[in-house]
Amino acid sequence: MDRKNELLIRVYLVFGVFVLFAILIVARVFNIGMLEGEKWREKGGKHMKWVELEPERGDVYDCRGNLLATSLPFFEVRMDLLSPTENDFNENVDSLSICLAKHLGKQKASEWKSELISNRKQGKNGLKRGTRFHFIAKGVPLEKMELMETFPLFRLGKHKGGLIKLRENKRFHPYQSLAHRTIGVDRNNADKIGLEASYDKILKGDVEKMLMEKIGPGLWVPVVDPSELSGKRGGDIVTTLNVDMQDVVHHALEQGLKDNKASAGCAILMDVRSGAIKSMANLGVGKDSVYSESYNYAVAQRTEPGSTFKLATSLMLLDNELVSQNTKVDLHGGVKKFYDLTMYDSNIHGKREVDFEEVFYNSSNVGMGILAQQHYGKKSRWNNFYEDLSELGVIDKTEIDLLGEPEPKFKHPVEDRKKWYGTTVPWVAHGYESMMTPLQILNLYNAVANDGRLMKPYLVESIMEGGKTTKEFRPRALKESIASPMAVQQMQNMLDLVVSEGTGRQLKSNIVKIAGKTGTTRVNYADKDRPKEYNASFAGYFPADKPKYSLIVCVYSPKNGKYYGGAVTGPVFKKIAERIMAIDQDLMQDEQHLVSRETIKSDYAGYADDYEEVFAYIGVSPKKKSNSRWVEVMPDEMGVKIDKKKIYNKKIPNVQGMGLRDATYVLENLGVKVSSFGAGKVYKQSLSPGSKIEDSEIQIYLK
Amino acid sequence: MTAITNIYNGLKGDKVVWVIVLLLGVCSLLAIYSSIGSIAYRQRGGNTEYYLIQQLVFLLIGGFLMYRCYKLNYIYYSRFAPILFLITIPLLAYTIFFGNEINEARRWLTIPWLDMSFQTSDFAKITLIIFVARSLAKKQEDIKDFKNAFLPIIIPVVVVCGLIAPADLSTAALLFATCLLMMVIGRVSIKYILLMILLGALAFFMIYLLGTVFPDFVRVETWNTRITEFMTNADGGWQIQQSKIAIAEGGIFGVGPGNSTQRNFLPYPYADFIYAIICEEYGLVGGVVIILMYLAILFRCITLVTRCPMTFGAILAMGLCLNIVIHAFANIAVSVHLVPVTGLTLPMISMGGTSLVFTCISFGIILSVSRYVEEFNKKQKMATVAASNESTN
Repeated sequence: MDRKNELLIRVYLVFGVFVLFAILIVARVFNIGMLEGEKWREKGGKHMKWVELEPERGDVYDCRGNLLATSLPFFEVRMDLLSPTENDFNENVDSLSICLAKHLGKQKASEWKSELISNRKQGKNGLKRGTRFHFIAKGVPLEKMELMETFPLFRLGKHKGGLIKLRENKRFHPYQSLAHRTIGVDRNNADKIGLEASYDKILKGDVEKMLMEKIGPGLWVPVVDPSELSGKRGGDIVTTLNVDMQDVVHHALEQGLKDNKASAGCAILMDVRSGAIKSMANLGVGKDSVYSESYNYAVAQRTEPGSTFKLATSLMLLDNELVSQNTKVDLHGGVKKFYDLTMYDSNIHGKREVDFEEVFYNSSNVGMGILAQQHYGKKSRWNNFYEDLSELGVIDKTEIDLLGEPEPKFKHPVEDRKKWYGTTVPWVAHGYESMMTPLQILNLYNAVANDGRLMKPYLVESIMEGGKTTKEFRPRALKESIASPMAVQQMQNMLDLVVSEGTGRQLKSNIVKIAGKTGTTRVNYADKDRPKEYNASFAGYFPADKPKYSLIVCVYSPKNGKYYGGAVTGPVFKKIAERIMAIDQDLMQDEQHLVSRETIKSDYAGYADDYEEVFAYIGVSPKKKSNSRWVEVMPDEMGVKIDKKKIYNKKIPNVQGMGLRDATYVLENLGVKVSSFGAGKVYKQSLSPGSKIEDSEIQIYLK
Repeated sequence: MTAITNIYNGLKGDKVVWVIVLLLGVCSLLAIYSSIGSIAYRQRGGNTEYYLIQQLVFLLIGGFLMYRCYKLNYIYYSRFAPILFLITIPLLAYTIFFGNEINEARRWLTIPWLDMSFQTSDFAKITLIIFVARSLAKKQEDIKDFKNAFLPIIIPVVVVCGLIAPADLSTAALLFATCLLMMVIGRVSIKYILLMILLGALAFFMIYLLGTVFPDFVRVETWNTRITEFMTNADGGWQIQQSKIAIAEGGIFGVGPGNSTQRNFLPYPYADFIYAIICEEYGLVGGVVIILMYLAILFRCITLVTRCPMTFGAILAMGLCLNIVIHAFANIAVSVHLVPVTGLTLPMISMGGTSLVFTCISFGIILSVSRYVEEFNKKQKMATVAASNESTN
């Protein structure tokens, strides 16, 4: 055979092998795609699902860094029985079993051992699926998880040790029921509510999707190692709420509801200048007359506003210079018929000529109805009536950053022409034939307190990621001015008069000057057979001369004999206002006459002996609840209470309220580097309490 | 259009190879853009273009190097063969002990300054093939001799494959097979080749034993599970089943570009299982076309060998081409469950930076050879024409 032929034979032999192999491949593709096609297509997609793996949910803080809601991690522990090497597995299986039996207690060490060994064997032989995802334990808390990571075999790391952790978060509310409905609930089986819902996107973080494969009935295993998935932790939200104020508002409201055997109630405290909600309490009666936060009345419950709405009517009249404080009005003795409907004052007082201001402070329905009818009652003026209301901003939502706020309901003279009666103007004027939420009413009062500037109420101050503020929400005005300065000024005077002369006399306080308006709304006036039912409310602000906070208190269906706004909600309003005065630092400086217990604010903390010395010196004996070295000092029903300041190893403590020396001492002892700004007490710290200490540096701000 | 025609006419070398390489590059971009959804979401926040552009950049770099290699007279490769080979051995040894570990296998070295890692075996493949081609060409006269021809050729092969095997058995085995096929074509005695196959099996067994003693160096466990799975599970493991689902979804004409669903389920749909994605999107037709393209390149190289027998160039081109096609078929065979799972990529199509570049270099060398063969044939023809002219005169 010559060279050339030998070569050709060999070359074509090689090529032939490749062609053969190519045919084999094509045949295989044909076989899979055509002959077995049905089987594989059936298998595709059906046995797979994507599951959302939520990373750690962000925390919710109050404006001073107190934790309102946080997620504690729990773990589902599984084991990849096939990933450890033969050597590692055999060497460690005994000691691992002992550890599992000791710390999980599910079964004896010998049982653990045989379970692990037999499953591994079956998995290796391909007899059992899911051995790469063998169940070990569920609901394991963080500390135990950290312990389990040190178990023999597990400590070799996830590839060699086979440990698989699946994180699940449980939500905790350190202040329990306080502002519960505002903070909201994060739940999987029902819609989220409150801030948890409104800010879900931020709190949730970056969700990672995990592909799960079905390996048996109801048995799903992840396709890739779930510990390799790493979603980004959710952002924290810092709310405008103040836990101490919330505490005051909550308990005052609760007491008020109990006293009046009411079905429900709410109270909103708002910062006048900014529109920041400082507290929002919602209580509804449940089983055994226990009140709990169950529905957000403050934001979502629309009712006829009643007499508190007279503020809007008065403001319209004043702003258009249709009346002045001293315009005379004929009250017809307290009864007046408008077309086919008769309007009554709360009692038949027999008064005729009174000043406009008295109409307001004595809350005369008739007076308000007559004035409205006189100036807006003509058909040609209906549009002006609607437009002037709209000028006040009451037609629109407050745009609070909480889901579920309904639009206020007002009739439109053209669109709702069929439902617009001759009586509509006088009735809307004193708070009927329209619907508003407590927050919407409060916002109008806040605007009056704020010299006419209508703010957008808000609950979230800033968003933080990894301890750094990434977004700040600034106060925003919805309307720069809802009425002329003159009108607002007169309105403020008249609100003062309500408390000094009128229906709100019960709110006179020697601690704080309150301005506001009572409201009493008949709920079931159409239903003549049932006993009369009312909603009582009081909306206003304090201190009246230099308004800092606006507040509304609503009590639904009081059943203890009293039902007027002044009598039912007045005391609650007054109690809250007085206590808020005690808490608020800035207000304190103006009100030097307040003594001892009122001067102790909740956010003092420090070295126990120091405080005892101070209290001894000023002659106050605090209620001592703990002998701890580090204490918190807070106001109590009776005076001052000293309680333990919780400081944990390896966790950033809350040093707010401490002096520089104490804060530095505590933090540096925990190994945290401290840098400080300002002087006085710590009011802000850069690392949130409860976060882990690892080479941490903290900035504390004092004032 | 004229510009393209000009380029086409201006390029020398085998036009079929040129066109197919270009087509493979286009297929690569299409298949990768379809299949990177999940990795793009995991690592780049859904930015699929990132990987598309990255692949395009590598293709352009590869194309440039291919052009350089094509321009270089292939005789130079013969000249540099010993030096290149001497660099290869320590490089491979260094990788075994100090290479970057990715997926529990040490196959990678980082190129200093460039901060890019590459598989040293990719480099070793080319240098070994050049070296073997050179030896085969030089020893043609007494090629049947054991001591003078066979041993000097086979020893370097064994050394290089032995160094690659611990971390990357499949690549080593394919390289070994490539070299044996080169020897078949290079007229080495068949009985020695059969002996080598036997020895190769023995070597594999030795390495396997070594692995049970030093599990850090040899991935015996991985081999075990893959082979057991192949032998025992007729439907294939999870990955294979997903691959089959993809092929079945594709049918004859496929679900259309970008419509793959299995890309979300297949591990490495842009590399190891890219053939399954091609079958899903372009169907049996697409799958056959890919195979035909590889076969066509192989056929063109065979014509080089027949036209220009026993020269260094022809054997070199053949060796490089064999290696690419073997890799391609091995990758495809995994996707269709003809062989156990290995981590091989589909040359010129799979995403993968430096190995793509080395594949381009191989093509460049093949094209360089074909260019010179063409010129050589032309000259010969002219010479014969001249001679015949002379004789008629």
